[in-house]
Amino acid sequence: MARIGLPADRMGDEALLAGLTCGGPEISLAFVRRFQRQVFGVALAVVGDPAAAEDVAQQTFERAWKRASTFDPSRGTVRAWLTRIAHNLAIDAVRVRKAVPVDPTDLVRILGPGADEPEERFLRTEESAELRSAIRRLPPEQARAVVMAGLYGMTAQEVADADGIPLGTAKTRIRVAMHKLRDTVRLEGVHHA
Amino acid sequence: MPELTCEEVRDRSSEYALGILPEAEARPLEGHLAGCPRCRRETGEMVDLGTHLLDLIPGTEPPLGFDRRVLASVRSQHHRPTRPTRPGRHARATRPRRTLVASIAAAAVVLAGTIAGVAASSGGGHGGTEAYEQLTVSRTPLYAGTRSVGDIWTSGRPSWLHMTVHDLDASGPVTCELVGPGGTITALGSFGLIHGSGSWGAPVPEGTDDAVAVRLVDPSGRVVARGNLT
Repeated sequence: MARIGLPADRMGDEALLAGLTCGGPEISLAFVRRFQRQVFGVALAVVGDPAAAEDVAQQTFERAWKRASTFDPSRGTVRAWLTRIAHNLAIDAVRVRKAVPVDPTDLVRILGPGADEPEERFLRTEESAELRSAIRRLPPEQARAVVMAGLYGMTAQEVADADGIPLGTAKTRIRVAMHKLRDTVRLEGVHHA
Repeated sequence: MPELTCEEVRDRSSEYALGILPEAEARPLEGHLAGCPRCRRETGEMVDLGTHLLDLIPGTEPPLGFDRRVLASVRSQHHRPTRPTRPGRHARATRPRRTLVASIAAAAVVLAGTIAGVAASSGGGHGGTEAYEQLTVSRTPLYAGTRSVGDIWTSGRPSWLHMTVHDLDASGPVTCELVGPGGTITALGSFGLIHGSGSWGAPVPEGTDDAVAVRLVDPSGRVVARGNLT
């Protein structure tokens, strides 16, 4: 039953989350630093503007801090939970600002390979590579539809309006793309049922 | 409203999983899911896929000092009875203007290709350039009988305590109690377990920092888990 002394940054994700509201500032800081790259990355990818992204990222941690007690580990990881919060807030921010969220040139920079670090590639590439590869294999119009819907939260009607296609076509592109990706991750075992 | 068939649910599950299905269509779909395990499972896979898609977005280091600003913000709000709501923070229903949609659509072309071509980033690691404060915490195993069911984390003697619980043969509310050296019991607080899992924490009151054990007690008074701090 020995107690083990560890630096706070070695604590598990859930333990850090549990300590977020009751632990010292070091715990909160460790939590923010562990997830800030992912949270800020999602925010920036959606809103496109660093200042707005920082605002979204800050709101994400504030919300996590308020709702830490409602986190349900049976429904996913802390990282996925935070990512969802960041994504929803980013979409809200884009819609409220009614402004151009992302310039394609900026997007290339934001998503460029410089954002990666070796240890992160080691940890996550295997899981993500198959899905990324599957997106690459999609017909361009399907990849585009699923990104507009999945990343930017655009409804099928908005996708249809954007591409000048019938609503039914937009729905089909989203559905077919999602089913193809789902089948891929099933085959590759990315989905952990 | 007529009930949806499984086929109709499959047609809509992708949009539902991505959170873009209009509310009027989402409600009957959820009604179907409640009574159809197969559609529930398949839709769950789609929801997981939506999460994986977001995972493909590479992490990006925020501006210097971001972590400190977050910390200052949440701590100041903690001492504030109410916080101002930012305009439109919950205005998800607001539709974007066509110009916005068009711009996003243009960006999506690039993104669809770029997501497929870049390596993902976890956002793990510590980030920031400031020196990391070294706080040493203690981890104590939590046991149900002889089975490990989680960890208790403490700092100080301890000044705070929190725990993560997994696979405990109990669900619903449990009370966390400190056991003093003379057997005195101090209730720290209660929290809920879902399917035997949960996490929780609280500051440790002064005068109880010589606790020798932590235990979880269900509403009937049964000790369902225990960890020895000494």
